[in-house]
Amino acid sequence: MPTDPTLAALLLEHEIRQFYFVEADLLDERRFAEWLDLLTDDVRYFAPIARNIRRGEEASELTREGFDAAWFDEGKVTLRQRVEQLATGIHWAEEPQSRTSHLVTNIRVLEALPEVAAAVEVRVRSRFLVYRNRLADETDILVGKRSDTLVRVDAGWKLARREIQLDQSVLLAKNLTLFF
Amino acid sequence: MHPLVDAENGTISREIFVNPDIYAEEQERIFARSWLFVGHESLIAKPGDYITSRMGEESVVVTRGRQGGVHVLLNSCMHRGMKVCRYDQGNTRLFTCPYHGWSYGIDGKLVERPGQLVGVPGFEQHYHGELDRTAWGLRHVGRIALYKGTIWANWDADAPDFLDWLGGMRAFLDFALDHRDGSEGSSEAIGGIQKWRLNTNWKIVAENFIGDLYHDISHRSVDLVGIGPSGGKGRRDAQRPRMQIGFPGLGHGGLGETPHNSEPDYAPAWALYPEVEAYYRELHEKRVRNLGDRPRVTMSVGTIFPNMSFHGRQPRTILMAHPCGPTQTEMWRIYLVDADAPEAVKDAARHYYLRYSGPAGMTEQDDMENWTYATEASKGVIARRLHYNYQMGLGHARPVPGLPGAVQNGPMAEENQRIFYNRWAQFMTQAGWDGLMPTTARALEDAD
Amino acid sequence: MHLPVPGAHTTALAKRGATMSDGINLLQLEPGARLRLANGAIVELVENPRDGSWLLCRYLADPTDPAVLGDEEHMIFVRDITALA
Ligand code: FES
Ligand SMILES: [Fe+2]
Repeated sequence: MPTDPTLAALLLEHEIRQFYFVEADLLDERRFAEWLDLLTDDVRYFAPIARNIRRGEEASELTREGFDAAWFDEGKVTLRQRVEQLATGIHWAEEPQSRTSHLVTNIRVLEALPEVAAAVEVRVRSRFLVYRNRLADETDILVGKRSDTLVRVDAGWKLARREIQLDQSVLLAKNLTLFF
Repeated sequence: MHPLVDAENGTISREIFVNPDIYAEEQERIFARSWLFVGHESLIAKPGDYITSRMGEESVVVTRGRQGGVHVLLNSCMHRGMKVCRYDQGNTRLFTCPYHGWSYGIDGKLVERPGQLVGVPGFEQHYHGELDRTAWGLRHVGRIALYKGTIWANWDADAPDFLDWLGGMRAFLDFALDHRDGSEGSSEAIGGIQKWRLNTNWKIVAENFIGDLYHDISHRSVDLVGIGPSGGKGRRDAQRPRMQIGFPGLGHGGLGETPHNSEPDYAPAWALYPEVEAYYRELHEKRVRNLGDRPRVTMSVGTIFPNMSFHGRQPRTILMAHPCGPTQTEMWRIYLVDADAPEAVKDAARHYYLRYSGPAGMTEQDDMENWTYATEASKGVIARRLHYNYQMGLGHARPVPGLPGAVQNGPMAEENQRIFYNRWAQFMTQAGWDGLMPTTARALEDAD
Repeated sequence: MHLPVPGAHTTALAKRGATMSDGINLLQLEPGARLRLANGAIVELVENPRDGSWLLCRYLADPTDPAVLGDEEHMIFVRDITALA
């Protein structure tokens, strides 16, 4: 373990960055079953709906986890069902399969527990730009923010919680067959 | 009747799904005089609460006045058109236009009638006190109806009563809006409305939800996986046999059970959640007691003409297919639960709804793929010369005992679609209300 | 032919109603605030609708029209405010 705190921070950030890049590759190479292995069994996957509200009322800008409607508010059981559905080959919304590219950027480690040099849990904020092209001209560009909690397990990091803030109030895509 | 709709023979020109002129005419002939669902009272619980909603292409503000009444106003400044409210929800006493500052009052302390103009910058100095402020309040809809928490509006003050519009379909809507224990109303909307766009004509959505068991095959992938709240295969728990039941002359219909006078045995439907299962089992007992031998129906899915669809069972939701151009629709989904249900019950329902419906819904996703590319493949000049086929079960409709004005056509038919397009053609060809409403609906029900 | 007139700019501004209120953001005012209006009246802010243009106020003093005094709420437009009182 490095004793220089700057070096420790760089190494941690590098590890997290690599985790995200591997994750993006798994998704864009449609290796969804392997992607599931990057999630803890009790993972929380939540994407609130955004509202247009008056300045000063930001508390109601996003729908609430555990109470309101959302784009996603689920755990591994449902995520696994989604992956199984994609694998059937007759999930028509993804047959033929769409082409996607996940660009993950602005990665910041906000908190490392118990400490940077020996972190077993980190809170990370990032941005995503997901490009999807389907059949010929059906194209979606979905952009937003992610707030993640990653935990260290023997072999590396796993995603324990992900909150996805899509920067749209009316979703300008016909479906969300993709993962963020 | 209408040159493009031959509902008698079950063929309908593809033009009505892609043609911009027909679409423009629909806005006038259908959306400017139909009862349209604009929201749920639980979304505007307190005085001054409002949501912005839609009626056809138009934005409206749905507000609760200080005296508790519900008002629906065109969201467009009477001065020179600016959208006065660009928030999705909030609480206010005034809507002030950002353009030149005209301000409209909502609460009764400021105005006699919500929407009245209460503030005009430069009224004395520049208008010389001569503007007729009472004449330039926000435009109200012609009629409003509140029904078991749902809010409906109609631009046409001469439109028939909402309950006449609903006719016998009311029993099926009741099933979705009533408490699971059989007591009236008392469902509420879960906070947050899913809104999304897709490239299809609004009628493709309405005609699917009016009862299309035939397309079950398109959902085979989710059925193989199984997402129902009891585990096992299928996308919902087993249902008792359903019929296509429709209302000729009104344009509504759905999949449901015909009226019966006793409650069938309890069928477990939430086995994965013991606490929830126990709750529903208990409600079933209450329901048996509450309803006694009164007639009742059940339903899974239905459409109220023109563009409000709802699911009464698993899941339990309201869907609006707002027209957004000849080949674009903005979908709004609201999810319903019993207001007094324990949190665990609401939570299990919510999780199930979200994996079933909406853009991330493992069922609805495949519908939207089909609707989108059916629309795209119907646009070309050659494709447009053709007609869609709605001939299933043609000539096999029969009356429904105990449900005046209704017909049923077995589990799989395109009777309801023919009924829907017949109604559509009536609206598109007849300007006035004369002959548009069957005298049957409520009159028959009252006589029953 | 239209020749520039000295001072026309400020005159136009005054005609448009420009006042000291151009320096006040109504969103920052809280109920209880006292304001002076162009006609010399003094009003107290009762409720701020937070639209940046209007305030619901009651009149404390009005040299031109004593009838407006009292608890009744009046709509006050931002450009009619000259200063915090
Ligand atoms: S358009 Fe609204 S005040 Fe002019
Ligand atoms: Fe479907």
